[in-house]
Amino acid sequence: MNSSGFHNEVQGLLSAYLDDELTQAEAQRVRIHVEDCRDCARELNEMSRLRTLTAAMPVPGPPDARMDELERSLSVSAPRQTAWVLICSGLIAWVGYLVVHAIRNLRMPEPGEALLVAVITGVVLLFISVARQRMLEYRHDRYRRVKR
Amino acid sequence: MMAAGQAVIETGAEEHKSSDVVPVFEKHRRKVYQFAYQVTGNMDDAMDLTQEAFLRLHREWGRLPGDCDAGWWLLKVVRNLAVDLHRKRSSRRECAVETDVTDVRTRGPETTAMHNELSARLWAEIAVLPPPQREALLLRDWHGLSYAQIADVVGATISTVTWRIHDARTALRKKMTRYL
Repeated sequence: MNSSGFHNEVQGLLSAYLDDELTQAEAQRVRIHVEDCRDCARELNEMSRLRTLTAAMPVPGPPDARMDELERSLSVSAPRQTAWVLICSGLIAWVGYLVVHAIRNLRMPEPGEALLVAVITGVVLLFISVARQRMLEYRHDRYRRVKR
Repeated sequence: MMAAGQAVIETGAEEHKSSDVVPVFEKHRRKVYQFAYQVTGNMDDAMDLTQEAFLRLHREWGRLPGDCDAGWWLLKVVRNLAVDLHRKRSSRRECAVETDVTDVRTRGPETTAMHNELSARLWAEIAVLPPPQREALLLRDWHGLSYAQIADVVGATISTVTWRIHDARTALRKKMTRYL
């Protein structure tokens, strides 16, 4: 490779050299060339200054009010989600247990038992109905993407 | 309000053991927002992207592998959201980056924060870099990530990242010569 080609190659490596991202052999080649090449030395020096300036560049922080709002929504939704998972899985397990129990002990239910089954069935139906309504409303809510 | 760069997002392997996402939010919210701001150049978009990133983290929290670094994961999400946003606006013939660049040039990242002509000038020049170069440069110089980490965040090879940073610096050096 002629000296101009080598010079161009080193120029292409200066940025990575500055960031200490070259192999040991590459870094050594760059170092030796830069010691003798004023253009590359100047370019390296300017890149270094540029890097320092960029690192120190002020960038605005997040607006506190909106961050607090987001934090609140995260802290509220985390336990809420867990609660829903627990309620749903508990309800499913309970209903399943009752169904299995009823099949194993097929007999006329006691009035108290019948009442309990009626209440549970009512709660489950109500739950399904509310969940279904919520889903339908959400699907057709034109403003759901509008932030409050 | 202001923060200098070079504060690397710390590894999140330990924090991930916690079941609560709020401490992670506390730890990374500032950096995530600032990266969102740097890639969009717009405070409202930055806030929207930050919010979406943390909501996604919240949804995915239980499914993320134990050794997953929440900081990088969030940066990746923000970066992908920014790309989506840009595509969406481009398809509607709104060029988000150009609009925001004008915004940055007239007002800086935030007028009150930009007393310094040099910083304002530098930011204006960074803002007009092609987005892949801009994000690679900022992830390296401002956020202090290594090339391998940047490659992971932006989904490119280390070699590509190396050239993006090199091209970005070369372009900036030409435009900022009289300040260097």
